Amino acid sequence: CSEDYLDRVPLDAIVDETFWENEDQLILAVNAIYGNIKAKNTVDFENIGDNTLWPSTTAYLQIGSGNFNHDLATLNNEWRNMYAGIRQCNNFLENYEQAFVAVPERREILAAEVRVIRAYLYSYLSELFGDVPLVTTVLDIDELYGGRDPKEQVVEFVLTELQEAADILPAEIPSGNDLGRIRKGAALGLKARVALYNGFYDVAEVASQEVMNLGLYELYSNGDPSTSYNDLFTYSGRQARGNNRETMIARLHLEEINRHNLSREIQVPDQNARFNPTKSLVDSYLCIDGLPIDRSPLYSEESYEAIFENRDPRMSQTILAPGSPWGGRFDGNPDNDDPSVYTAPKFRSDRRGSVTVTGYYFTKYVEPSTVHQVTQDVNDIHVLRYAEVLLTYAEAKLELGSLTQSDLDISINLLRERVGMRPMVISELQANQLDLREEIRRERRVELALEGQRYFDIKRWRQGDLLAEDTKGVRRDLVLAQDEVANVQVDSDGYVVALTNRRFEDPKNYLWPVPLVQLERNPVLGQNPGW
Amino acid sequence: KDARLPFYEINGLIQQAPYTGRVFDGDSNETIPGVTVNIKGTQNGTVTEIDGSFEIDAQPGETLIIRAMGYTTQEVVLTEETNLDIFLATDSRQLDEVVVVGYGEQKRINLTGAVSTIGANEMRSRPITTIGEALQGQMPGVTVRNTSAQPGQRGNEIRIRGIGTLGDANPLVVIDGVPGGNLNILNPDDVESISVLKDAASSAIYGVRGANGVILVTTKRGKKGDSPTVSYSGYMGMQTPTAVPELLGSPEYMELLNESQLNVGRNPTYTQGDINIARSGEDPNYFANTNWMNEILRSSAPQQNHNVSINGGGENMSYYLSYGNLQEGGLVTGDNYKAERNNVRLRVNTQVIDKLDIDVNLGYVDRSYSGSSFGIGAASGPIYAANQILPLVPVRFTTGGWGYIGGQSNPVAVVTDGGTNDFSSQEFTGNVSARLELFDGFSVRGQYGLISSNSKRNIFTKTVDYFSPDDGSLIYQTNPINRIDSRDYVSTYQTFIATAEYDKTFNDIHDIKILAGASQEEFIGDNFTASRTHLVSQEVGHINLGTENQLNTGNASQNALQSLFGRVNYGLNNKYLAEVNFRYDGSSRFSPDVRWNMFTSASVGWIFSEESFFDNLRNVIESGKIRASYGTQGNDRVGSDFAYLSTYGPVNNTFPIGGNYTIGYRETGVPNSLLTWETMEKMNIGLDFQTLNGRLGIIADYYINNTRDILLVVPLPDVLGTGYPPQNAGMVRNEGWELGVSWRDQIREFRYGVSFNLSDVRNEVVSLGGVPPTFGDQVRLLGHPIDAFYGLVADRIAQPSDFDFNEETGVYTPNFPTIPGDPVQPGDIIYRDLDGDGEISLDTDRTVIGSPIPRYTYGLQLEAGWRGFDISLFIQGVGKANGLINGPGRHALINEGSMPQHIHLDRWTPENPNASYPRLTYQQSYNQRLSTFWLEDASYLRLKNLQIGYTLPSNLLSRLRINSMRVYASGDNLLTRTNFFYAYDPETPVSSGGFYPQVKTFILGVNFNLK
Repeated sequence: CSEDYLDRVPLDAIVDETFWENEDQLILAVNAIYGNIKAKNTVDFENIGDNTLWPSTTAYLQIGSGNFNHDLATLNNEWRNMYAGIRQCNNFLENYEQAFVAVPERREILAAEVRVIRAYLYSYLSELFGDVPLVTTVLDIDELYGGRDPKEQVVEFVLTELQEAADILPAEIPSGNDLGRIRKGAALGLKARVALYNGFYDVAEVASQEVMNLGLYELYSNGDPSTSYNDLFTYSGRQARGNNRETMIARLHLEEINRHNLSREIQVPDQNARFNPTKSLVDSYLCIDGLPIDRSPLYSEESYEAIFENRDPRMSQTILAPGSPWGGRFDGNPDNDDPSVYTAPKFRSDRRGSVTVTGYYFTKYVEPSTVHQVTQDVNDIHVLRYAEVLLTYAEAKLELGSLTQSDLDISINLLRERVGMRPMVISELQANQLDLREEIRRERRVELALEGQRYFDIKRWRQGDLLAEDTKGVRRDLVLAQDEVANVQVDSDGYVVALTNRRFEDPKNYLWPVPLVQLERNPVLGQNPGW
Repeated sequence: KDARLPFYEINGLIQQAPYTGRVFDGDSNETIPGVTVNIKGTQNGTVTEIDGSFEIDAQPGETLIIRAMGYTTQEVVLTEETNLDIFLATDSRQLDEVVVVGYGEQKRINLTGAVSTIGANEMRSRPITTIGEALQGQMPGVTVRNTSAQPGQRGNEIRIRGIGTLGDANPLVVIDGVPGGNLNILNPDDVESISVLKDAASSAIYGVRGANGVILVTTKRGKKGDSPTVSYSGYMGMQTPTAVPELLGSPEYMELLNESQLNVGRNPTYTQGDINIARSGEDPNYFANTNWMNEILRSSAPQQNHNVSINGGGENMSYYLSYGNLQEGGLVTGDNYKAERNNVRLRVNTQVIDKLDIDVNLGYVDRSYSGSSFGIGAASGPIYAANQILPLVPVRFTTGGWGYIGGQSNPVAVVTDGGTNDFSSQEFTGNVSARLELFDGFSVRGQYGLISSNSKRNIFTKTVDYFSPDDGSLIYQTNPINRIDSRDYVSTYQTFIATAEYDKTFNDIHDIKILAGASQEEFIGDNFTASRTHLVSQEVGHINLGTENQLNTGNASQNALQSLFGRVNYGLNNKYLAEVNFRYDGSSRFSPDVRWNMFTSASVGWIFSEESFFDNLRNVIESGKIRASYGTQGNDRVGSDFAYLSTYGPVNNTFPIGGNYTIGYRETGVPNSLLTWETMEKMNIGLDFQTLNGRLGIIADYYINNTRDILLVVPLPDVLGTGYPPQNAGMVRNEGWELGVSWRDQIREFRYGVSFNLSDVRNEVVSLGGVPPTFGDQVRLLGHPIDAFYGLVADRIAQPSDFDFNEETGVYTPNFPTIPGDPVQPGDIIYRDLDGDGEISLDTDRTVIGSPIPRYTYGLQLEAGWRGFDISLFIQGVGKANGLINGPGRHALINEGSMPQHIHLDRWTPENPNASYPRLTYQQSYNQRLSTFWLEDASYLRLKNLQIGYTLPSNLLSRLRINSMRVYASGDNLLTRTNFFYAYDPETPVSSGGFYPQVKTFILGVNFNLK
């Protein structure tokens, strides 16, 4: 028998000895690695916090309400997906130097992009699970049984990696064939976020300052304060359009080929909207006079429409206000025969229009042209944008005790200026006996609503109790179609209770449990406190 | 005197006259040549001609004795009727029966392994489209599950002696000596016999691929010296579904929806006024009352099959040429779900020179099946969608356009206008062999086999528009962008097999048979897919007409096998039998260091009825044999052809860097260079018994099969970051017994037969290589069957008395253990707290609650014939198995796409405490977790086939030059007794519904031969 007959090679794949030879191969490997940046899943994390409610029994609702166990598949999926990305990164970083690249800097830039993605994946892992195995090499199957490394060590690794990558990456807003690539600002912005999350306020301050000093980024505006913020999250603000200098990392999508379903999920016509803004979020918007609703004379709850009046302009660019265009078809107003305009919340599941369980809908992130179709949305999913860097700068300064009015003027007040909101003035806050820290946190919540940050903010601010509160909606008597809410549960003040039985145990719920299957396969991992 | 009578009395003497007639095989109704026909008590006799006819001079009152090898002897008392059709019952005494075994043939009496066979008779006149269906219930130890009856894609899962692997458990198929054919596209009418090799002795010669058992199919051939016979067989008939979900109409749906919403503190959607509108039908656009299951499924679909063959032979050659056409209509509405198959087969056997035999066997299949672009599947496609769509949606609005209210596409619109999914394939098999007898008892043989297939799939996804009945505006689109997807699949399999055989008897007592051989084979497959969108017209679907998004992709695979094999049979005095097999295999699927391995088996048999002490018993028991075998076999189907190599492959469309479609490359998995095959060790003890003049035959077997080094994808800690490499770990044991009993007799002209088989297999995972199991609804747990169902144990539905009721708050607090977070109320399921910790936990309170692996499979065949009439009844079933239907196939209102069925009316309410379904909870599914409450009993007993035939008398036919003709009515799956969930067939795999229904088929057919 001839051995040759049995020596076959794959016909549609490359054996690894023939890979890692040239720049084209490096680019192909990096292309695959970019696929590990979270897409709509970034926004789905919002469901775990208190800004929005996905009303059917999803894993996110279970996690957010504390009623879940370590066998929940989503926990394991996140763990597995993150480590899958990390392996790809490690594999690249172990091998890329073998490739011949005419300009070696180009090779190093690719490697730096990969290091940022790896750091990004570790930032999720460490935030969700705390201590995790810090894997920086391509593991063989007998190297899988180590324990977890302390979160501090992982964070330190992430911060170092991001700085080293930032030192290599060019300072530019990538465009043309590089559109979507990670550049210096993205590495530094991510570093600022991770530092802030972990209380390294000095590091966060420096990193965000460095981003600001690059002078590359600016807040997106179309010139109209009443739509600029909302526009950023529609097709107008897509990076591919070339006029968005704010977004630093985005998961890009491509017409007809690479799409998601977010706009439809937010205002799905004829079903329950998947994203229902909570009373808690709606109430957090200041009135236009800069005062919270419980302090401002401008606030009124005498009608549904009144709630939206005299508020931070970001509110009606985030929460769907009566009179706004929408894609949810027929609303809760039987006299409204124009399905393209929203007038009143719909509670009735008769499949003719989008149903809310809180009385509110989102308009942020909705590209109305795609709502009526399943998975046709090509909106960018914003992973990191300049606004967050500014917020991080302000918060870091505050926590360091060095926040000044001029700091606010180059950060938060730029955000307010974009939408025509009254600036934040420290002396005014003091005069009104408002807490500066609370207001800075409010600013972050309002600006970044529906961008997947809220859950992590609640945790780092140790405000877990918020997640044990009932999820509420509009006051029932403000609903136009009273027959649709007759049976809806309300609290003692008449507000709709959309979800009850939520739990949050300290310290247990400040971390996800190590997924059951991982623990079964490697008991050395150990479990988080309280689980 | 009537001159027409052949008898006339002259002087009181009855004159002899010629009796003419024909002798038929009572099973196949084919004529039998060479049968001796004698007049009892005389020397007078004759032998039937090629067409089974005879002529003999006799007189009324005399008795004819008709004798033929393999048939029971029949006596016929002559009357004045001089034209006789005589049907002989086959003799179940199979002493001389020749059985096809690996690389050869063997007399059944000399077999030392466990081999079951069926012949063409067992398949005839049944509306089966695949060989798998024919095997169901026919042989002990062979379990067949028909999973789908979709036209052109009937799926059957064949398992021989249980499931010995966690991977691919399909048996090896060998068609006319060439391994690797496709049983599903072979024309059952072309098949002469099927042997199933079950133990190591019979299948070890297939080495690395024999572990799951081997199915040997032999196709028909002509007979040397036969005059040409043209045969036609065909039928036409109808299929109807065996089980269909019964969905509720709009008023009931609305009431139940309201109830389910009230139950979870939501507001009811519909007012009494709305419900009244739905009931009255006054608003057919928004309050229709559509039974979507009736709309999507037809009540019946046509099926027809026609086969024409010609066979015969000359002095040194024989030929068989056949053409078969099968057409199946679909049960899904619209014109898309149907299939057609054309089979052509030519087999020519010639003796070229004195000692050289050449066998040329060519097959060609042209087949196609179609569907809608919607597909069909376990949780997709139109039938699934019919389970999910509101009855309030009209099929069409009053304006004539497709109806749409919301939530999902209109499935009737999609199957009608949403585009097509057409598959067509041409498969050629060429099988040429030459056998040269070199000297007495020694021959060599060479065989070349080719299987080449060329298939194409076109998926044309069309846009369906829905317009508002009020203002004509576009309200929704299914597939907003039309798209054409063209796929091309090409594969070639080639093998060359060389064998040498020596067969000789020495001194009349030593029978020696030696076989040695070598073979090599390779498979190469190559697939290509291209797609485009925005076709300018929806009329024509071709890749050329798309205008945007030109994308393409492809994949290819190859593998090869080289082997040396051999067998030695030794028989002493026709009493003591011994056989040794070996095969040395090398597979390209493994690293060169671990590529080759040897598989062997040994077996012995003792024909104790040949012993002298048995002499006195032989009148009662003609033959008895005990046999035993032991051996090893392998399974090299590891899922991937290159699991031992580290490879990089493309990932398409990951992240559109630069705003462009991008392709990335990444490592495809972790290689395992130590990977090698699974080894199955098989032990078998069997008993063959013939008694009562060959009327009763018994075959019994007991076996233990242990599969070691199971190719297991051992889940690893996911810090690994990629797919788990398959490893050789784990062990599975199958232990079982089989019993086959047959009885066949003829009482004058009444012939009848009964055959029965029953088998059991106990499957057990013995080792998982030390890896902890992963828990889900189906688990692989030590000590339990593979993929056992794993869930909570449900006690009953909770009643108000199981709660503490707080009158002030109106809150029910359960006084039984519950799962934390579940809002348990009266009407929900109470689970058993298995660990007694006062709380139900998925960690500690789940247990193995059932197994999907069928046990106690049985078949019972009853046949009877009288003169030209025949009737047969075939019952088949499974004694013990579990199944599971979940999702919208089983549940109501757990999400927006699960419509209530008739059975959900019996849900728990305070007024209906003894309900069969828990209370309805809108968008909640905590009652629907897998528990014993939902586990289905998938045992069943089925009237698999009933047929009544009549063979027309030959005197009627001779004028038409028809040799024999039989007309029949036959039905498959006519009756099923089962406790399975009413809406699905008990053979439905674990799924959430949507499966193409299993069908009953009723046909009328005719077979005739012309000579």
